[in-house]
Amino acid sequence: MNFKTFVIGLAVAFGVPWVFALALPYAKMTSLEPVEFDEIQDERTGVYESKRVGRLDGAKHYAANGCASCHTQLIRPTYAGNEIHRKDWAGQPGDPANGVPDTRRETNPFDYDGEEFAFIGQTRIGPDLSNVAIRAEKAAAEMGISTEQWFLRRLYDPNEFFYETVCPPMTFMFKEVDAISAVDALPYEASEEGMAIVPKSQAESLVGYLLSLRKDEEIPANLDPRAKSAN
Amino acid sequence: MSSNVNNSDPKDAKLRADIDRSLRHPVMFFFTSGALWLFVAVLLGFLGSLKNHAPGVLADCSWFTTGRVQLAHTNILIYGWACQAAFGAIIWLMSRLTRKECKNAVLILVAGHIWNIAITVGLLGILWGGSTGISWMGFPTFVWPVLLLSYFLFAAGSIVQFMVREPGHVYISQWYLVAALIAFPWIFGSAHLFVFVFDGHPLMKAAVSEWYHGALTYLFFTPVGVACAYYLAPKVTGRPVYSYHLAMFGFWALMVIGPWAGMQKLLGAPIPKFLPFAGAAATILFLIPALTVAVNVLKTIFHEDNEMDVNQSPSLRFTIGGMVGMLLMGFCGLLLFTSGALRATQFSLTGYGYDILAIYGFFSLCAFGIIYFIVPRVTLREWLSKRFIKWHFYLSLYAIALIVIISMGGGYMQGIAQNAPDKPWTDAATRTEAYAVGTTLAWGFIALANFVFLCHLLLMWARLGRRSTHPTLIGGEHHAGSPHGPEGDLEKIQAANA
Ligand code: HEC
Repeated sequence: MNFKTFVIGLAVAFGVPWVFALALPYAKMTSLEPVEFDEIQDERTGVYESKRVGRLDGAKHYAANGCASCHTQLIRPTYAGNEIHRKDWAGQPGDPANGVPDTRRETNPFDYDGEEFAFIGQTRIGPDLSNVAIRAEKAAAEMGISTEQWFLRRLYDPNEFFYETVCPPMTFMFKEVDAISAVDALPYEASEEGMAIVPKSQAESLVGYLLSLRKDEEIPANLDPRAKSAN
Repeated sequence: MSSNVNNSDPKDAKLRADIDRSLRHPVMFFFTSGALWLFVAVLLGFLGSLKNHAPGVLADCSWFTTGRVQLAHTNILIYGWACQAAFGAIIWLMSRLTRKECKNAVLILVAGHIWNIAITVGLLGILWGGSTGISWMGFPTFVWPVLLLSYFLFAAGSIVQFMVREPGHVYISQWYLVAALIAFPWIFGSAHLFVFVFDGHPLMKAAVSEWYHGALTYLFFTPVGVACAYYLAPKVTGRPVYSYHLAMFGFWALMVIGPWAGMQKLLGAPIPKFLPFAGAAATILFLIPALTVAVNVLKTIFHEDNEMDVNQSPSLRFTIGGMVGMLLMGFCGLLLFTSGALRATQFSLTGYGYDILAIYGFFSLCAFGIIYFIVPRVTLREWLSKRFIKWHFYLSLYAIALIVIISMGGGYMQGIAQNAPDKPWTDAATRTEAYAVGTTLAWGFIALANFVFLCHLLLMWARLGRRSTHPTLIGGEHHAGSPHGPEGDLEKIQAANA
């Protein structure tokens, strides 16, 4: 084997996967074709635009605090996993008898709109967060507080929600201020009398991000392989 | 011990001594700073694992919140230790195999310092809260161009050495080294550009980051580990490599399979569907080069003539360990990444266990092997204590065995529980807990092992090693032949036995 064959061999061995598994799919996904609603299946027309509500700047705190090492954001199709059937992870199972539609769906490429990086996640030590805002909304309603407060309390003291959880408390994202001027104070005891615990801006933007994690807006049936096969 | 090799040519001996002297500072710099970072990474790994079952530890300290510790741990292990150990080995092996003195020691040292400063800043950046959150690209974004620059500064010398070598046969290890030298900037550069610079789809960025993870494992750490093994096995035993054709086949199999691996992490994500499957297939097919290389190296080592060396040489011990680690990687890949098992292992502890097996159980053991070989040569002192070496070896072995059983077996069980949608989620979490405790224990072992290693290496670095012509062997008696096997050139060993 002389040096020339060696280099050519390497260039081919590295180049082919680089082009076909990296560069081309990357280019293809960068300019996704817009998806249209289908008049018959969706009973409406027009181009689908994802309308995500929440503060996507919070993604940077999600990243920096390593939430993705324990939490995923991916609802896989059934060939790859079963989470679509897990309660409250992918949406609500339908009830055809009472006309309730099945809102469960897999992740689609538009779900990460507006983010820099899709935090698919490394492990599922904790639950998938694709639809955490929906779960939070329910849980908050049961406690009679706002969803935002629920998230803030969850971040400050996860133990209150799940005893001895390994989900780390983000106490450093909160500060103590004079109780009189405090807005959005948490119902926990501050270190001193007359003080109250309030979120710093990072906690607010992280919660804003978590609030955006819900996949319950109407999407074209074409984007949803399950809906497509059901029809 | 075959002694039909002429190793008394004084000119050769002088050349080798000159090469070793010219490399003393750069090589020792990479090895000692690598070992220091390894110790830091292991402590972070211990802490991160501890927090997986004892969340109260350092809970209120922002710098040590679980997610940050885990990111810091992985990145320090990769860039602080593994890369630097690889760099040290590459520089030394390249010089020895091309028979050229190192002329740019100062430049390499400068590059090494830049690298270490960048890592330090990166570590502080992660703990302070500036991480990108991407598992193997976790340093704040301004760090990676600096790392790449530092790489070019020191690698250029090795490439030049190879280009101006005297014409003639290129040894197997050299193929692997040149491939690794080319692969690193290619993988590192293109992955970081795709993720941090180009304006792509967030999902493809995630996919590229996982490809990077796979490619760095299979196309950088694996070739360097294998190069060390192919160097040490014939060198220490004085026997030629078992089969040249197998070596050739193993090399090309790795180069063809390696660049496809990684994206299996995104199975089920809405990206082109063949990508995760290609990734899973490559991870499984890795068994082919792994088996080829391991058989070839082990066949070279285990020969009735070599019994003495196998029992006595620390370098061989570690190399054998590394080869077994690589075989385990191959078989675990076969069991855990087929599409049936992948749904369970995709988001369980298995992936982490596989990484540790690759980085510690395979690559690091090979690197320790070459470090135990190189350091006495460049410092002109022998290792102080065979007991230290033994502790390092056995503690590492126990830890790896534990991690493999826990993360692979436990990870699989955990994955099954995650995929049982009717059972409560806490089932999966409860099943993880015992394994998390086991992982912490394993990190404890690795921490001890590497504390011993670090102290030993620091003493050698301070040139407090034994002044002796007898090498430190782990199996008792010194043997009559030359230290660490005959000092001939590999080429001559190959030729003499051809
Ligand atoms: C060590 C792993 C780990 C890390 C790191 C982690 N979590 Fe968790 N998280 C868990 C576990 C386990 C649970 C489930 C038990 C519970 O409810 O506390 C959980 C639950 C949650 C829940 C409630 C989900 C639900 O469906 O009720 C939210 C919200 C959450 N985590 C947010 C975060 C955020 C934000 C971060 C990053 C700052 C984070 N977690 C980091 C392990 C982790």
